[in-house]
Amino acid sequence: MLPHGGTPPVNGHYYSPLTGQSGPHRRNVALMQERDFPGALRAAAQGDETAFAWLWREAHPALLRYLQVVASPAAEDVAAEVWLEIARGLARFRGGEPEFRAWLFTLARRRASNLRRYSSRHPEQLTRDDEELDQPATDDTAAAALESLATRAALELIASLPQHQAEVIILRVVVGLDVRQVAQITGRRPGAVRVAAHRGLRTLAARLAAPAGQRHGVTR
Amino acid sequence: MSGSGASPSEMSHFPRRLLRRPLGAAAAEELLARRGAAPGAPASQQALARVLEIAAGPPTGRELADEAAYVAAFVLATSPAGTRRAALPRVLRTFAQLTLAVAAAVLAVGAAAALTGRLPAHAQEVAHTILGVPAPHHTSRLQPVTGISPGHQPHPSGVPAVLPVPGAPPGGTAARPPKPAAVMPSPPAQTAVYPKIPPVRAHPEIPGAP
Repeated sequence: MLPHGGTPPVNGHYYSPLTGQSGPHRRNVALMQERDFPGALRAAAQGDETAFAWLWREAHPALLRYLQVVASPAAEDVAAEVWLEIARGLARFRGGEPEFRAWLFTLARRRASNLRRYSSRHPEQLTRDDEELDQPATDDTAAAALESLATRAALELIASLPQHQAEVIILRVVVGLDVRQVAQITGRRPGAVRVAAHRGLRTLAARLAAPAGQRHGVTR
Repeated sequence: MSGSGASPSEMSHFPRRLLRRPLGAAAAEELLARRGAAPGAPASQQALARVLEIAAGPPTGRELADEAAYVAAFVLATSPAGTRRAALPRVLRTFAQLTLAVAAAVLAVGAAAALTGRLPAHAQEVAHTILGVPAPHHTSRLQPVTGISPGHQPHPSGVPAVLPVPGAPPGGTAARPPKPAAVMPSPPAQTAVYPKIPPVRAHPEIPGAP
């Protein structure tokens, strides 16, 4: 199912949970206009690398943001493992967009869980990747940095919630899944998912309402 | 996406009364659906809607920077060489499953044969010892002496005498001449002696009886 109750494609473009609008992303506009999700899945399953690249661009940012919340220091590494598993299993995958997203985030959740279990047995302090040091400069480096910082700040604010609340909010808001899909991925009941999301939002609202110096003292 | 809009730090300038109105379930669902806060919503909810909007914003350049590396990894993983490497564990898994199936079948057939006493003598003895299945039907090579002739002297060590092993080297207990009668006494010859039946006499009260 498409995010937010199955928004139908507009002019051949499916709703993107990342952009919040129907239509192509800023990259590879011509390819995007030709693709739809099921078609890209079929082509990628047969080894079409452009179709895989399209799928990756559609899903990777949300995956990375989800992993920044549930597997923060190792989000990039976990994402790479998840995509490798996707690439290996894509030929045997059957289903459409909702099944693919459920598969992707179920794999990510399992990997993140394994990483947390491993980290608890083998304590090791991971450091973040270097920010933009090895990235080529864009036309507007300052604007890109501000954009990235704003996104990161928002994700860190959500990640300060208890993990199950943060996970549910990310899956619902960033990935665009509904309650039933989130419940399926997290293994909880839909009612528990709804309650966790509401409690998390109330906590966030309370933190935003608190004076700047007291924000971290709000009870979770 | 730009970082404009109501930043969290700006929210502290709003009156506390407006900021601390509780977030209802309907308003929370609106925020989760990314439909934003209602026009008259408290400023904290407006700020929260902005935070969620930023978190779900369009992909940044950094998030999409590794596309080429991921596509290369996909090509490698789906290439014939990569497929062969990935297929190897599947072959091993299939082989292991076949081996397990054959082993299970052999065990089942062996157990059935042991229960019915159709194993070779030695194997049946082992199964009898370990599993308690019926003992082999024929005599074993080591069998305690069941009948001792009057002239037989018990072994000084107290170990019961055993049957001499055919082909064993001379010396020791095996060197003694076999005494089949002592080992397996043949049953006494049955002579056909039957009790003598008295002759039938005529019954005095039954007419016509012999």
